[in-house]
Amino acid sequence: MTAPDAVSVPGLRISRRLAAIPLPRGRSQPGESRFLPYLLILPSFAFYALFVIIPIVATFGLALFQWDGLTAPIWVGLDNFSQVIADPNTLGAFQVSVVFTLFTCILPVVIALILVGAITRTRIRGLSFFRLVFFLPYTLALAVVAIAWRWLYALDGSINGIIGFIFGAGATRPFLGDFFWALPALGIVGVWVTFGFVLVLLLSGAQHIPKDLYDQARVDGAGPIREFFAVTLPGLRYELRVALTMTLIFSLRMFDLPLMTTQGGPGYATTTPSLMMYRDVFVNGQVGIGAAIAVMLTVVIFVGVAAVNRAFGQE
Amino acid sequence: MVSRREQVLSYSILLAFTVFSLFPFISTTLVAFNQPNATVSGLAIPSPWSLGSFFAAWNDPDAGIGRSLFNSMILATVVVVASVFLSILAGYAFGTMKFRGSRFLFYFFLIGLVVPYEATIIPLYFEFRGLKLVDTYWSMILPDIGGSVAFGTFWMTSFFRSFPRELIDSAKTDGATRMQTLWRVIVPTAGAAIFALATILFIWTWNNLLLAIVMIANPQLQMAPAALNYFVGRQFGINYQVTCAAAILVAIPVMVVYYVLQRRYGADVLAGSLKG
Repeated sequence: MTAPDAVSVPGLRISRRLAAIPLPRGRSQPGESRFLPYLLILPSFAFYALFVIIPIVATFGLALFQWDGLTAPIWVGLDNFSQVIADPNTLGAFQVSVVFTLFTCILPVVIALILVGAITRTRIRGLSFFRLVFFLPYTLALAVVAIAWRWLYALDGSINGIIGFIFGAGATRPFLGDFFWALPALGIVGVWVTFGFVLVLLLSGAQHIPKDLYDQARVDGAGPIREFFAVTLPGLRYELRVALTMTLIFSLRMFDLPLMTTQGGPGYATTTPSLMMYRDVFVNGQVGIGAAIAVMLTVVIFVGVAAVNRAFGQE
Repeated sequence: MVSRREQVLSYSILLAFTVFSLFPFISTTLVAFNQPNATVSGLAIPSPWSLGSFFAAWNDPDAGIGRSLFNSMILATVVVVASVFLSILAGYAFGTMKFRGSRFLFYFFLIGLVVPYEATIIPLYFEFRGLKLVDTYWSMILPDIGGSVAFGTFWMTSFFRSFPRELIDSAKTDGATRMQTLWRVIVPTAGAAIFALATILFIWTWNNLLLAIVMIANPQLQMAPAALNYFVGRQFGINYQVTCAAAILVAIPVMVVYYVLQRRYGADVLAGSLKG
């Protein structure tokens, strides 16, 4: 968030000073007490505490027990964690997450930055049309996205149809069943989902960059590249922070897409930590193991978000 | 001056990404208009065009797409209305009032922006199972509101902080209580921010698959994305035209909501209002 006191709207500063002059107080109504802010926050806080905060703490607790969800839990301390860390599939799942992060977080931001750099120099007609089209995939349920791309990637599907037309039938392959291709194929789906969202966000930020900064850069003889690094990029810091934070969480949590396209396969090629957690808890009855994975995933997300906000935070 | 070459380049890039964005929509729509028993391949341009796959998807008794759309609509409506209302109240407090602990409490809410459902779903499931709330709307509504108010409070706080202070003060001078100021002065001008928040929460709630497949096992109460998962899980999964038709039926409500709101407020409201 930008600090609200830092706004420099003309007139506002004066009105601030006026506001400091004690005004005749409005009638004090019952309930108009100094407890009002707490009363206003209370309902949200109750939902938030009951269904977010307490469950997180409980997840940390469950990770310390061996439990099948039915019989009495057995205290095992940190055993679940050492078991999870020793399992090569866990490491594999987090590696899958890294690949997803490259595709659905880093790549869309880079693409969107290039597009914004190009667009801010030109007057684009129909920009609102492009924005609508690019943002559309982000509004779809990932379950819908998964079904659409299962068809696109199918051996008889439309992408293989095009590949077969250009390169001959020998070049076609069942992308989602292929040990090498399954993960990058899902990564491209991730790009498709998030890049429009990132672009719309960055474009709206670019509109708020003062035009005279560009004029000044041009007077100083800056070319398109220098202009981008000197004006556009610094001007988009806040939007970059939001975009990277949201797509990073999205990438690390990836669950629906592999579940509904590849079931995490072939082998463990597209199994994410979320998918592992879900299987352990709700299919295999290993609640403690699943909780340990959930804890690790949460820690990774918090560290990642903190890193992004440190890198793009306010000075 | 920007050269003509640069302009052509910009449009070419935009056009290329338009194709990338739209191709999956077009291809999925094309295959869905094939007859349900046709063999489809390649671009699968329907011959003849047929609504048969949509009927097959809609009428499949086990998947229950229609019922699941109804369930999702109830869920999303309740969650969005409740969360927006609660977020306005909390945002009003954080955005316009000074009180002890406000900074701490606000940062405490911010944690919720980062918490994934993965971190909360395990105890939520077992707690709700213990309370016999699994397989009810409540098992979706309550956690979804909990997950929404953190973001909503953050969003509305940003809005209230940017609201002109002098309007609030003059309402006070006129003798309005703080609650009257909220509902009669501020909220009527907050349409764009509130509807943008409602849209985002609607999309998130509607699309939440993890919660839906964990909490709901009763087919009568199945949510729309979970119904799709059920479709894929059966041998129907390889009938691409029927699964794609089902996916389109589930996607339409969200796309309509998004389209209407962006017509009214502009697409960048969704993203742009994030600016605090």
